[in-house]
Amino acid sequence: MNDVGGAALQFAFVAALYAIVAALIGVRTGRQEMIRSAERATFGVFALVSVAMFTLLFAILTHDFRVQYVASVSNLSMPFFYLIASLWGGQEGSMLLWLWVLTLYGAIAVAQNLHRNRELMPYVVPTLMATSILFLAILIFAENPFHQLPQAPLDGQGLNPLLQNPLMVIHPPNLYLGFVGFAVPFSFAIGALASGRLDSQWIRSIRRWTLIPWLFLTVGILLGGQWAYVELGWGGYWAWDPVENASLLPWLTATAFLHSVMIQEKKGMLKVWNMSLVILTYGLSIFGTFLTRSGVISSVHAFAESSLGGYFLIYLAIALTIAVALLVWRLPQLRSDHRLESVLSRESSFLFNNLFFVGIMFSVLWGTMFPIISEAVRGVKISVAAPFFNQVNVPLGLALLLLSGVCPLIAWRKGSVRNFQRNFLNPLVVSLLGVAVLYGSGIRHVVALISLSICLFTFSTIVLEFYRGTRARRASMGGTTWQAFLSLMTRNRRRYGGYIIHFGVVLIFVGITGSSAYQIERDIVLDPMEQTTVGDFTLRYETLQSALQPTHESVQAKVEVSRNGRRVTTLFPERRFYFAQNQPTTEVALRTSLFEDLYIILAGFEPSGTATFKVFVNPLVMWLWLGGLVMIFGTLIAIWPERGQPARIGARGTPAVGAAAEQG
Amino acid sequence: MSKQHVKLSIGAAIIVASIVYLMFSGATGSTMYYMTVPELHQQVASLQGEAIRVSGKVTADPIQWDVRNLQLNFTMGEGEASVPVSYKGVKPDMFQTGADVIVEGQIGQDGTLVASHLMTSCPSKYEEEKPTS
Repeated sequence: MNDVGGAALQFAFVAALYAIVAALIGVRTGRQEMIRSAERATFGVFALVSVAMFTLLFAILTHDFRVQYVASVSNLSMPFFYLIASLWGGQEGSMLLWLWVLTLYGAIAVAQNLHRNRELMPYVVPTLMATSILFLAILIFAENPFHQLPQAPLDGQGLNPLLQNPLMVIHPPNLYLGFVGFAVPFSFAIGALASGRLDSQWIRSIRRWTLIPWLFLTVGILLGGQWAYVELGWGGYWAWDPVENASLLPWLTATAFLHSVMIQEKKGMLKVWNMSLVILTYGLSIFGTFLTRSGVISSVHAFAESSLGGYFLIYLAIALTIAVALLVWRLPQLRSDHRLESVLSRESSFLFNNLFFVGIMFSVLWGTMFPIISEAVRGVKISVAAPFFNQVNVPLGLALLLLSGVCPLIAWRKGSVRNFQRNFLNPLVVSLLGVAVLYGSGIRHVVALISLSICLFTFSTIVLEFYRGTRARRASMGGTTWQAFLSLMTRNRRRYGGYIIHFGVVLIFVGITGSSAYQIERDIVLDPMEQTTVGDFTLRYETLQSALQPTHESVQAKVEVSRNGRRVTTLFPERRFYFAQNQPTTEVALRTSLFEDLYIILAGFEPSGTATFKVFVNPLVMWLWLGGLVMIFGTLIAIWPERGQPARIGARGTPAVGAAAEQG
Repeated sequence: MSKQHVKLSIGAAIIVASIVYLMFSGATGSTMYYMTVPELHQQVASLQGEAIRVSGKVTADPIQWDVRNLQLNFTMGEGEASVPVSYKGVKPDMFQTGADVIVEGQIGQDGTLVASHLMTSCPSKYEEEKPTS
């Protein structure tokens, strides 16, 4: 059975090579049937990789411990849910999932374009297949998921207990769906460059192909933060760890692209810039995979060190060289149709927004790569820690948030003083009043005040936009305010979806501000029935109970929580010891509310019953997760096809979309 | 170049300059020498007072863990070299003899590495040693 999986990967490798050669010969000689054949080969690659993936899944579900991978990530006592998750719980399996998603995306993209973008496809197919070959080569030559042990162990080692968390089950697939997805826009960019069809058709074709991976990546990053928060027990959600940074880098350039592409669609400007962003985003997603998989940069949660680095670097060098060479070759055809007319215009504010995104990306990349750069230049490894990232990115992030409020209100082409007064006076007043109230209520943290004032400002500009739009629509079509509001949203999904995403971002900034400026952290030692106060909370430690479970032994402390003399809840911070992995874990006890989280870790205990706790009060963390939900909602609105249009990813822009885009 | 282009370029230049400035000023304040235990051993004298980040393994020497005061004393090493570490805080989940750890802190007067951060190098490292049976 397992030979089937390995063989399927090898056949897929051959089929992918064939697709590249056939497509290129087809376009060189003008033989359409060769191109068709290459396209069919991409479906074949998808089918073969699916066979390999289901073979591995079958081996996991049937506990076939002869397969080394199965023995190292699963065991007999794991529930079905986590057995599925162990498919991507280790290096080889997660690479296989990565590849599967890639070939799935590739097959969908090819199927959508059987009758469209015909000039581009002979180059889109080879680009997609080249990426698949990278992962196929790794899976066949370096990290074979079907590697057999000479003798099957009686039981497997099981999935790391820290990964046995529902969030960790859905976090990696989300990240892959995001990371991998950027291969499609990249292929179309290469297709446009190679074929010379550089009008905005390819940009329209990949509109959803950029938004969907972006959504998955956004969700993946947030889920990763949430997992770290509830599972790792250090009280935070983001540590600027290289692995986290690796997921943020392509997100930043993709976000920049989502903004600047609007300028190209409407004004025919920034063509070279957009092309560069697509190439950069793809490069960074491969680079991010390289960072996390090669062990080049030591990270608190890196994968096992491996020899994969070479594969990624060689591939990345080849792919970027080809992409940049094509871009330089086509430079004369990528001239702007218009020139910028004013510094105070929507166009230029988008340009500034892009500079900030790319600037943040460079600073994060710089900080992440600092140990390697300094070793190459000065011979010593110097790393920069979280303070560096915060110092650089707090001001840049706030500037960006301010721009997200300002941008949509500046007129196209040329803003005027009048336009400024009309649009900014009210939001400015709201934000200043808000800051006065916050100051009056005792908030003295300067950065927090600045941040919250910008949040308020941006929030009011969004409200203002919705209000004005609804009023205008009601004036033109009558009906109730609610009807006008809905009609506004459905007619301009992209624009108002975008505003909703911005609103989600505002919520996330509020959450970050509250939890980083006002976090309380205390280490406390208590005897049974003793109590203490942390922030507003009174904690009374009552008892310690231990219990024996099939997979682990657990010790639980019972902590009564009250505030101002009123009982709030009972929390049970816990330590577990997993037998199979010979590993202790802490189970965080969390009481979450809209305003603050009470976060308790049982750090240790003595036979006498004395226990040590680490207690955090994290204000406004909930707002981060709410902001994430709002961002998902906004993106779905922006992605949703316009009425009367089939729900196809990357569908050609109809006049309705064009009109909506014209206003957005 | 038109007047608007000059203005726009100035705006862009200001943004780029401030990002570069932030990157360099940020880097000077929070750099940390990153080294292994043998490297630390060679230069221990010159590193006093410097912020360092050291990676190594928890050695077989006894681990002292005082729950009441959250005081953790252990030795980390690599090959022949080793250094005593003193850490005040919660003991990480995967901390045990033989675990890979990353310690951030400073070398104290007596040559002890006084840690401000202690991380075990694999909360989500997906794989333990592969089974070899």
